[in-house]
Amino acid sequence: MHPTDEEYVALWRRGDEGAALELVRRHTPALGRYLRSRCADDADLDDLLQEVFFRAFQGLDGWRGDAPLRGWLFRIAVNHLRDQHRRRGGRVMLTLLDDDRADPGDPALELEARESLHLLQAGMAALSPMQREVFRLRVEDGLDYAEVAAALETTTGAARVHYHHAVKRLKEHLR
Amino acid sequence: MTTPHLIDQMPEVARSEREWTSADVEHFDACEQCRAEWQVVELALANRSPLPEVDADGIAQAVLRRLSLPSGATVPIETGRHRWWRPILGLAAAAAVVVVAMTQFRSRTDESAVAASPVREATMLPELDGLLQGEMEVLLASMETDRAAEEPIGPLPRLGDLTDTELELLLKEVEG
Repeated sequence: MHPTDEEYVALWRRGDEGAALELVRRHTPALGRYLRSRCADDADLDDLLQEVFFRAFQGLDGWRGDAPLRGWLFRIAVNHLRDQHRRRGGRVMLTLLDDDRADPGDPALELEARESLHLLQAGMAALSPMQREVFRLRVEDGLDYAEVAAALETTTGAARVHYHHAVKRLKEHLR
Repeated sequence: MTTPHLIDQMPEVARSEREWTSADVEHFDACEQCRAEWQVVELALANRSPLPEVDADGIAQAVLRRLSLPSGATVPIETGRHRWWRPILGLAAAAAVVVVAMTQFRSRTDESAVAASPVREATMLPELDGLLQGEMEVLLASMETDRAAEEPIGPLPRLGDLTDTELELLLKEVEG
């Protein structure tokens, strides 16, 4: 059984650098996916991840375990992207284009898949920013409600309601 | 009519982290709404950004080196992906480090204040967390009732767009 995040954090606080390594290994894939899907620039990804983890370990004394560590790390990532966005003068960050994804092979299937995807993207664009972000964190990034709440500085109840609302509105777009 | 617990579990089932029960499967067979919602989640998951290729160990080492530096300046990550341009970087890095260090020194106070700030307590919509499980189900079910009325999308309430005050009024109405 692997140690929990809390146990690794306790080890890190006692000076165990190996615990930091394990925490970075554990959370890098999800954070990497999140950052990639929000900034779409592979060249910056390592530096972005380094910055997020650097800020996290610098501020780890402030994490008291009342919010899930993964959600807390995502919050740092969200805030870092927000800072970057502001520094770049508010330019809109790109999301992954459907052209970047694997070709399903069958042209009819491909057409159908693209159509559904476009409908989904249109539906996503029509959601409120909070609903959209909650839905993406919950579905695409695999966070649970408590982690979503920690990442977006809201409550688990609000996260759940936003997610439900997003699913229902997206369903209407796909009809 | 969809059931809230199914929507809650869709992401985990779609990622194969859990399975539907036989009762759930029966419900899906009979419920077009739930199947449509399941399609939304499956489609979103199928089209999510792929896992990027990143060197977690290299990042961890860079972070640890950086934490030990008084300046906290960004440290190049020692990965194969970066090695080819290391020679070109040589001289440029020396100059860049000076510039970055100066920039970091100027902005560090603000940035580290953000990074080290303690976790803010979740204060948004706290009333939702105060709801009992049954009350939450009623709220979620009421959203379903709105949809079941087959109204156009426009007039449907957008919870995320409501102000805290408006949401409180809505919740009071739901709770009676």
